[in-house]
Amino acid sequence: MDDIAIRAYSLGKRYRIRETGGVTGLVDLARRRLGRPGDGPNQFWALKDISFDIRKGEVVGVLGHNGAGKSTLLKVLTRITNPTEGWARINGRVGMLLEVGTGFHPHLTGRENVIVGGAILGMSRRETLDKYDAIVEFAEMAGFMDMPVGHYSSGMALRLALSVAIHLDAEVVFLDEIWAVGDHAFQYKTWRRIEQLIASGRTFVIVAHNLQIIERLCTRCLLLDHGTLTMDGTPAEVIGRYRDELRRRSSGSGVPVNGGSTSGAGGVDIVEARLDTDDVRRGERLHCHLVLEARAAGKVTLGLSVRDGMGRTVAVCTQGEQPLPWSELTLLTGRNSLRCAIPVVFPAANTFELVLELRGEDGLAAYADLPFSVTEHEVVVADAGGRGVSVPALTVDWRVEEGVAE
Amino acid sequence: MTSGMGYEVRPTSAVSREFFKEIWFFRRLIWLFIWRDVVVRYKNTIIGAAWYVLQPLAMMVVFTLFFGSVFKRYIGDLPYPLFAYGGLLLWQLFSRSLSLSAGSLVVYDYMLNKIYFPRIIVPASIVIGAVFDFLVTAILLGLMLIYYHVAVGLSLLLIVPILLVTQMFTMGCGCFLAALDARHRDVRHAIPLLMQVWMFCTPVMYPASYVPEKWRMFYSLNPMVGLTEAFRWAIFRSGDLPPLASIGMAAAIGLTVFVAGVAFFQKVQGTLVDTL
Repeated sequence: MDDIAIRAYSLGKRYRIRETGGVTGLVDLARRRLGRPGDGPNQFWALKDISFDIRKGEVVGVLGHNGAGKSTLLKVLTRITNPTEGWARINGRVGMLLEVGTGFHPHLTGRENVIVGGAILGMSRRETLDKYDAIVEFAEMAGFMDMPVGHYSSGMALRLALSVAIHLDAEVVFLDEIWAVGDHAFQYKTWRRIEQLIASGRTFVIVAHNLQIIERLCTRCLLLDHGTLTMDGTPAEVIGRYRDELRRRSSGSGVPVNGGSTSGAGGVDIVEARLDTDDVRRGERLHCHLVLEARAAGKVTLGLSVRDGMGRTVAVCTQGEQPLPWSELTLLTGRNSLRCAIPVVFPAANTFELVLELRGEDGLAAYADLPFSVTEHEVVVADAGGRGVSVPALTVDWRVEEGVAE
Repeated sequence: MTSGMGYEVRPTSAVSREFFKEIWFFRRLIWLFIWRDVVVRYKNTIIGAAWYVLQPLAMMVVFTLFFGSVFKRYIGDLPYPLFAYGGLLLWQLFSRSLSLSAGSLVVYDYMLNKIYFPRIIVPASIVIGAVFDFLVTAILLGLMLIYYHVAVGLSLLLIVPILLVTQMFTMGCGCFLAALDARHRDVRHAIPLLMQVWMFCTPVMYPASYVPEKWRMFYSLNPMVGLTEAFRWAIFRSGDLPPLASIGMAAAIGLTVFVAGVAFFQKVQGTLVDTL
C-alpha cells in the first residue's frame, strides 16, 4: 500500500429520487420507516462496483458522458458524500476543486478565505501564509484580497479557489471541470502549473470534457458509463473508445413517430444523421448530413441547437434572418437527403453536441444527438512580459492582386 | 513528500478513535468557524451587539409589567426584573444556539458541497460561539445587579459547569435537529413553535416552585428546569438551593442527549450533502 495514492474497492452510490421532486417531509420519513426500501423505481445507482488502484504520481483522467458518474466519483473519493457500498483509501493530504463554486464564505475577505482553505487542509497559519503570495500572484488577485469574496466576480472567485487548490500542500489533488476558469491566458497558466506539480510527484485525478487536456496531461484514464467503470487504460486507448461510443450514440439515433399516429401525415424518420468530422477547427464549418424518410410529403420543422458539455444551449440555428430557432422544410415522400454547414464559432478545446429536433405536423418526430469537439490551431508566442502565451493561429493566404501602382 | 496522512471512505461513519483524531486535525477550523460567525454577525450591523441585549431586556420588561405581581410572592425578596432577566439570559443562550444550529447545515451547504471537513464542526461552532453572545448580554445583567444592590458570591463560579452542561445539551439537540432538517426540510418550521412551548415549560419567568407538587417530577424531565434554577441560584443565591435531584436529573439527561445527538449526527453526516 506504500506507493498507492488511492485504492477503491467496489464503490457504489445510490440516490433516491424524490417523488415530489423536492425534499421529503416528516410524513415521508414515517412512511419509509414502515415500508421497505431496496431497489425501486425511485432509486438509481450513480456508481456501481468501481474499483481501481492509483499509484502516487499518476495523473488520471476520468471520462464519460454527462451523467456517467464522474463528479459523483470525485465526491465520494473526497468524502463530500458517503458511498452506499464499497470503500476507498486515500493516502496523503487531499486538495480539491469540484464543480463550479468555491466553498468560500462571501462575507470574509479573500485573505481570510485562503486561511480557511489552508485550515481545511490541516495547514497551520504559518504554512498557509508561506504560500500566500504565490497564491495571490497566480490568481492575479493582488490588491483584491482584502475585499469580501462576495464582491468578487465569479471569475475572480474561481481563479482564487483554483489557485488555492493547486498551491496548498496537497499530495493528491482532485479537479473537476476546472477548465472553464479564467481567460485563455489563465487557462494556459493553469495547465503549465499543473504540469509542474505533476513533475514534482503529486497525484492528480482530473475530470474534463476537453480531450486535448486529457491527452496531454494524463498518464492513465478511466472511462465511466452510466455509473460503471468500462475501461481503465492509457489515454490513447480510452479516448479512442470514448470517441467510438460518442459516434455510436450519434448515428441515426432518431426516435420514430410516437403517439401511434397512423395518419401518415407528418410521419418522418431520421434514417441517417452524421457529421463530416467530429473534430473541427474553430473558424471552419461543420457539415451535417441528414437523410430523412418521409411517409408523406409535407412540411417539417428542423430545430438545430448546439449544447455544451453541461447541456447548456450555446447557439441555435435559424433560417435566414428570422429570429426563430428552427428551419422550415418541405419534404417529398420517400428519402430526402439534406445537408447544411454550420459556422464553428464556439470556444476551442471543448466538446459540444449538435442537437437535432425534427417536428412533423403532430409534434416531435425525431431527435438526434451529434457530438463534436472544437480544436484550435494554436501557437505559443511571447507577450510583452516575455511570458509564453497561447494564441489562435489563423491560416491566411496572401494573394497578389493587380500590381501595386507607383 | 509523504505526510503520512490519509483517510478511508466508507458507507457509514461513526464516533470512534478516528473521529477524535479528525477533530483534533481540524481543530483550527473550529476556531475559524466560530470566529467567522461572530465577525460576520457583528460586521455590517449598526446595533449588532445591542440587538442581543435588547431582546431579553424587552421580554423582561413585558414579563415584569404583566406577570411581575403574579409571581412576586414566590420569589422572596429577589426583584422580579432580576429574576426574569436571569432566566431569560440562559434561555436565550439555549434557544438561539438551538435554532441556529438546527438550520446551520443548510446555511453552509455551499461549502459542504465543495470541500470536506467533519460536518459536526458546523453545529459545534455555533453552539460554542453562542456563549460569546451570552457574555455580551451578561454585561447588562451585571449592571442590573449593581442597580439593585445585589451582591454575588463564590457561587458565581458554578456558572461554568452550568453553561457547559447547557451547551452540551444544546449541542445534542442541535445535532439531532440539524441532521433531520437537512433531510426533511419541514423540521425548521417546527422549531419556533417548539421553542415557544418549551419556554413556557421552563421556569424562565416563573419559579419552579409555582408548579404543583404532583407535576414536579414530570416537569423536571426538562433539563432546562434544573439548569435554569441552578443558574439563578448561582448568581442571586436567593432562597434555597434547588433540589439536587432536579439538578442531577438535568445533568444526566443533558449529557445523555449530547452523546445520543452527536452519535446520530455522525451516523448520518456522510449523506447529508445528498439532500442539501
